[in-house]
Amino acid sequence: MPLRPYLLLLPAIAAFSLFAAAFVTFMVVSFQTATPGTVLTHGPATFANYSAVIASPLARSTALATLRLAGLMTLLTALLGYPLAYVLARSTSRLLRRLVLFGLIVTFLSGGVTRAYAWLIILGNRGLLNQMLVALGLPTVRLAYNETGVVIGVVHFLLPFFVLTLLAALKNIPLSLEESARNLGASRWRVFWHVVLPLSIPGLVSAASLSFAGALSAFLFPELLGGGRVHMASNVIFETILTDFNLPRVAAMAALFLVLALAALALLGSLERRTAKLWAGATR
Amino acid sequence: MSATSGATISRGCRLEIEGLAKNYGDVAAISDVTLTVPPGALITLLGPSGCGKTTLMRSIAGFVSPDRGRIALDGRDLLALPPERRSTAMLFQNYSLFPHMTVAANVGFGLRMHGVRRAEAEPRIAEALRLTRIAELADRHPGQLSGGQQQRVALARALVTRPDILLLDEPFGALDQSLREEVQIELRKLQQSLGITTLVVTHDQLEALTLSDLVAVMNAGRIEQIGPPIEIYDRPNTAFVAKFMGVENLVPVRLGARDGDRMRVAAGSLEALVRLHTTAGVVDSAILAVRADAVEIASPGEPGTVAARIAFATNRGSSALYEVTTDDGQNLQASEDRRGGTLRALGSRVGVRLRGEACCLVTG
Ligand SMILES: Nc1ncnc2c1ncn2[C@@H]1O[C@H](COP(=O)(O)OP(=O)(O)OP(=O)(O)O)[C@@H](O)[C@H]1O
Ligand SMILES: [Mg+2]
Repeated sequence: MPLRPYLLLLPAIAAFSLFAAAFVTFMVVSFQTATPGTVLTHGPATFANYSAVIASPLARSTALATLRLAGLMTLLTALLGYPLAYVLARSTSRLLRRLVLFGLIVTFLSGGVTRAYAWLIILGNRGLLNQMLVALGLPTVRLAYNETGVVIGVVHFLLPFFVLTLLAALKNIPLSLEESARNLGASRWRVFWHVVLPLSIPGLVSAASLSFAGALSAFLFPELLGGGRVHMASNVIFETILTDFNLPRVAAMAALFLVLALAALALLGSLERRTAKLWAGATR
Repeated sequence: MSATSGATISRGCRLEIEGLAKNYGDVAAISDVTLTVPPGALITLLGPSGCGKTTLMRSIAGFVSPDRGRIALDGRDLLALPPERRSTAMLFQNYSLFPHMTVAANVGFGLRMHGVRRAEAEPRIAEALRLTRIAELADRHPGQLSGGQQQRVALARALVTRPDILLLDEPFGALDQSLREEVQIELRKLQQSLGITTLVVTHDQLEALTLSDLVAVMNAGRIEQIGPPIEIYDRPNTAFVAKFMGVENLVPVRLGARDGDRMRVAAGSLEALVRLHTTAGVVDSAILAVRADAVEIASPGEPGTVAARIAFATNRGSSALYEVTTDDGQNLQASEDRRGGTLRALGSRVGVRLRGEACCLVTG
């Protein structure tokens, strides 16, 4: 019965077709024209939406801001996440490992909206942090309703994805390699620099790509913590639908942002191969 | 292997361990280990699985912190130093080569970590590769090497830093039998020509006998006996060491009259005059360690023999191994040169005699 395996795949194929259909519809719409006063669209096919988006200063500044913010968020996630992943992979203290893991899992379990409001309570202009600063007689800081708040919220959201992805890679590096390096005279720091870091580059790039993709598509945190001042791609797309009501234009905008995101991720991927080679060369 | 220029010669350090102990929870991995290895000697730690060999070795390298005791190299205390400042070179069981570096970079790693400049490092790397006969592999990556080649790289990487002591944990475990013997002998020659103090962990008694200047037999976290391989083989002190050294018969005996440094012992009707190597301990409970080739099989009724029967026989190449049962119920394994003939028949009557000079009294 050679049909049998395909039958098993049927649900997956059905689900995938549904996604693909939605995606194709959306691509088709991006080449059409809006019928004024309705949600309907009509032909003939045109590049007008694309050229309009490319010409639009809002779309350009959004693209730049999104790439810049996503890059910053990924960098901060990596800087915070690497030590956490390393502790999870190598610490001999079970208590410490559990604490870190628990902290990460809790962020998974609490919903995004809840977390955004929690951050507002902590970071808001009259939030816990500022109240504490006031109590200590220090000047207050603006941490919410601006980029800082959005970056904090998104980095916190990305951290568990980053850490758990990198953790798998770090666990694959045999402990004996680190011991070998120390035995040959390398301090802990040099073991990290010459052995652990280069061997973790593929995992690091996977984790960073995942985080970068997550940051590019951030919607909730810019919306709730950005105070209307932070324009990332998803928020601008959302606002454009509400204000212009021009579905083809928005579809074209979304398609262009998607291409940009894919290009950025591809770049990151090619970076992996290059760094791995460079590093091996440098360690000679 | 023969010509050694000055570059890699090591001075050979004296290793002293005193009262070393390490517990994991309530498991005593090693307890009260004391030993001294003279400069340039090769010592093997021999013992069954779980007796603490790896723990002892890792304590020297600095990856295990002992609870008590002292480790010193040429009188310098090691325990206060972190692993990277100990000048020990450890060969890991899985070789642990850095997969992202070439063979040459692997071998040069320790030199770089010690701040040796490239101009000085390169000839030393080349020398180490030549000594371990892998010069042609310099530009390969570890993933492109066979197990035996990886081991040579690991050895070159360890030797190039001129360590005070070389530590090898079951270095031949992953090699097949023929390669194993070849590499053992090669390692021994290299070690002797470099004069480097070396500690090898193994649970293979033949390997220990082949390689060593000194053998330390370990049992349950302690050293049972330490000495030159021939002494350990010929004159085990305890039943455990005797058994580990492949002694087939451990016979409880009654002690008889003492005659100078000899003593008459008896087990049932079997008697022997054995040399006393140690007087300590053998008085209360005495066990006679008798190798199968110290049990002589003669014709039945021959004077000085005890009547026995062949209970089992197997072929061991040029010799035969028998199980004989004496008429008063003593079971013994005995080996005998076949002299080209066939095996003795099962159940046939023989006379057996112990060659006392080849037997040894041990404690239980
Ligand atoms: N990290 C550890 N945690 C807990 N117990 C340990 C640890 N390392 C070793 N042990 C225990 O200490 C004892 C000695 O172990 P060790 O590894 O030194 O034995 P070994 O002689 O090297 O054995 P093998 O020949 O099997 O390698 C064993 O009972 C082992 O279970
Ligand atoms: Mg071991």
